[in-house]
Amino acid sequence: MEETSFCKLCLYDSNHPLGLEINDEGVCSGCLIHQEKDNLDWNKRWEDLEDLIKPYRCKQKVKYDCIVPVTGANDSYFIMHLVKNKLKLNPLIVTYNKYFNTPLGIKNLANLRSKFNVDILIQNINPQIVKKVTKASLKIMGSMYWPCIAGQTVFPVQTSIRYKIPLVIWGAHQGTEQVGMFSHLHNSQMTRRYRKDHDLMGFEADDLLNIFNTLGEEDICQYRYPSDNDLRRNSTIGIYLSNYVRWDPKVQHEEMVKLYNYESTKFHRTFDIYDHGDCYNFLNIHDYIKHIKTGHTKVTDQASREIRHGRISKEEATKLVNFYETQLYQYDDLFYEWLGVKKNSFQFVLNQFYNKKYWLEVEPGKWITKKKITVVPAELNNIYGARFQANSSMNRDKPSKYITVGKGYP
Amino acid sequence: MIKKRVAATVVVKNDRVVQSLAFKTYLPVGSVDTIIQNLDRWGVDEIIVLNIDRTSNGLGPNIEIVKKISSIPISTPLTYGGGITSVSDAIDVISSGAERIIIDSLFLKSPSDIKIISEVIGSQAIILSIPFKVIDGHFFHFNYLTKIFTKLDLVNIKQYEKIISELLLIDVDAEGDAGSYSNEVVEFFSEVNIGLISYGGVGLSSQGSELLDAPSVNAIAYGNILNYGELFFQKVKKSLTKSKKKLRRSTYRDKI
Repeated sequence: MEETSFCKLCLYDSNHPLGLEINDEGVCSGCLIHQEKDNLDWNKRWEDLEDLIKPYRCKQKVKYDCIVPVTGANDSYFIMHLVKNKLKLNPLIVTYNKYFNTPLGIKNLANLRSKFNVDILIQNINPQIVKKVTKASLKIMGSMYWPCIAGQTVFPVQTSIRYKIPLVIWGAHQGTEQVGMFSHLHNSQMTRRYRKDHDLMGFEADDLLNIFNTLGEEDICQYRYPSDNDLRRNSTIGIYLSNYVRWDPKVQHEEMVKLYNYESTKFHRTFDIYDHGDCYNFLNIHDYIKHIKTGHTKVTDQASREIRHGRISKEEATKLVNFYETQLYQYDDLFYEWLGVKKNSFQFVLNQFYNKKYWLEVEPGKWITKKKITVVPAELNNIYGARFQANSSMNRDKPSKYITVGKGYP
Repeated sequence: MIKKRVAATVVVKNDRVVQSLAFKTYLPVGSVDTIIQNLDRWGVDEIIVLNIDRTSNGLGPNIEIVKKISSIPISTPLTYGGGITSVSDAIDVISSGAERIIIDSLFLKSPSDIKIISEVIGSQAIILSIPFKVIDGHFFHFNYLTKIFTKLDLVNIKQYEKIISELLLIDVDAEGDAGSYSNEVVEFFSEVNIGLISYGGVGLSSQGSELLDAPSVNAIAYGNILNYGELFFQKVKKSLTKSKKKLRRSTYRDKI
C-alpha cells in the first residue's frame, strides 16, 4: 500500500477520500489547481460562461432557462445571485427535502425564494421509504447521509428531463475545489460517474438492491439517475459556476449576508459558519462518521481552503483542526428518534466502520484517534474564530426539532 | 470493411485513476472500477489500462486490478499495460482477464523477451507502447523511467512486425492538450507494417478524423477528456463525424 504523503502547503494528505496527487515539489493537486485562481483571466472566463449558456436562454420568457439546485445553506445565495442577477436567467430552483431541516435552513430558503423571486420545486420522498433506505445505507456503507446526497444530486437531473430544461447550473465542483481533480480550463461538467464515485461512495441506487434484500425497486426508484438515452434525448448538461468565477466561499458569503440577509450559524465541529446550517446532521453525526471512516473531516477541508486563500497559516489551521475534530457531535438524539433506533444500536453499526488506520479500539466499542494532537482551545479565538461571526443560530431561538417542509415558514 | 476503433485510456497511479498531463502533472480522477464500468456502458471499443507506477516502483503487473475489472463484469475488450517484465507476467495478465497486453519498458530493457511472450500468447495480444517527442522534425522515443529521449529507430521496430499487433504512439508533450497531437508521426511510421493507435492530445479536434484517414491508423485512444462530462465518449465520436463510416455507431443505453 502507498505510504501516506503530505502536502507541504495545506492540511491534506494522500489519503484524502476524493484522491490526491502530490508532486515532486511536495505540492498537492488541490493547491496546484487553486493557484490557477490567481493566474486566470476571470473576465475571459465569465465571457466563456456567457457563450456557454447563450443557446439555453428562452427568448419568449415563457419557459425556464435552467434548473438551479438550492438548499437553505451553502452557496445557494451566491449561485442565485450569479444566475438571476448577473446572468439574467430565469431559473426553476429545485431542492430535495433531507428531513433534517433546521429552522435556519427553512428561513434561509424562504428568504432566498422571496429575495430572488423564483419558482421552486421541492422533492418530498415518502419519509417511511427514506428511513428504510437510510437504515440500509447505514448497514451497507456506514452512511446515514447517502439518501440526502443521492436525492439532492439526482432530483435536479430528473427535473431537467421531466420539465425538458436541458441546463442545470451547480455552484462549486467539490473535486476541483478540494483536490484539484480538474483544471478550471477543463470546464468539467456534471456526470453520473462522478456522482457515483465520489458523492455516493461508489453506490448507486440499484447497488443497494444487490447486497441486502430489505429494499425493493419501489424504494430506490426515486434515487435513480436517468438513463443515457434520456440524457441524450433531452440534451441535459450540468455546469459548474466555479469553473468560470473565482470561487471564494468566505468572501461570497459575506457579500450575500450584506446583499440578501443570508443567515449563518456557529457549529460545534468547525469554525466556518456558512455551510450546512440547514441540516442538523451534516456537520454533526455525518461529519463524525466521515472522520471514523476516512480520517478526514469537514473542518480540514475548510481550514485547507482558508490556507489556500492566504487568510491563515498552516500552523494556525492545524490548531483549529485539532480542536474541532475532537468536539463531539450534537443533535444525535433527534436522529435516533426520527429513524426509530436506539443510540446503542446505532453505535453498534458504526463500530463496524472505524478505520483502524486512524483509530484504536481501547475497549469494546471505545475508540481513540491515533493522531497525535495538542489541543489549545484558548488560542482559537485569537487565530481565526473571530473572523467568522455568525449572525444567527441553527435553532433561531426555537426548540431543536426537525422542521416539516411544505407548510412554509412558521 | 473492418471498422476502426475509438478506445478509452485509463491511466492508473496508486491504484486510482488519474489525469496525466504531458507525463508530468497528475490529477486525481476516481476509482478504477467505477470509471471502467461507465466507459463500458458508453460502448467504447476498447479499454486500455495504463498502470504507470508499477515498473518504476519495482512492482509487477497489477493483477488485482485486472481481476477486479474483469469481475465487474464488462463486455468491452480490455488491454492492460504496466509492470509486465516477463513471460509469466504476460500470462498472468491474460489469464486474469485482459485480452491484450502493452509492453513498454521491456522493449528498452530486454527486447528479446517480447518474441518469447509473442510465441506464448500470440502476436495479436501484444501492443508496443512508444511514447514519443518531436524535436526539430525528428522523432524521439521517451523512456519514462529515465526521462531520456533517444532517436526512434524504425529499422529496429520493423523487426517486430510479426511479433506484435499494434503500436501505441503516445505524444508526450501533447498529452492533455487537445488538438496538438503530432499527426506527422503517422507518416514517419509508414514504412513499418504494424497498425497504429494514436493517443495523447487529440481531443475534440479535427485531428481525429485526419488520423483515421490514414490506412495505418487502426484506432485513436482518448483519455482525460472522457472524464470531463456526461456522454463524452459519444461527444468524441461526434467530433469524428467525417470518419463515421469507418466507426461503429454510437450507442446510448436505455437501461439504467
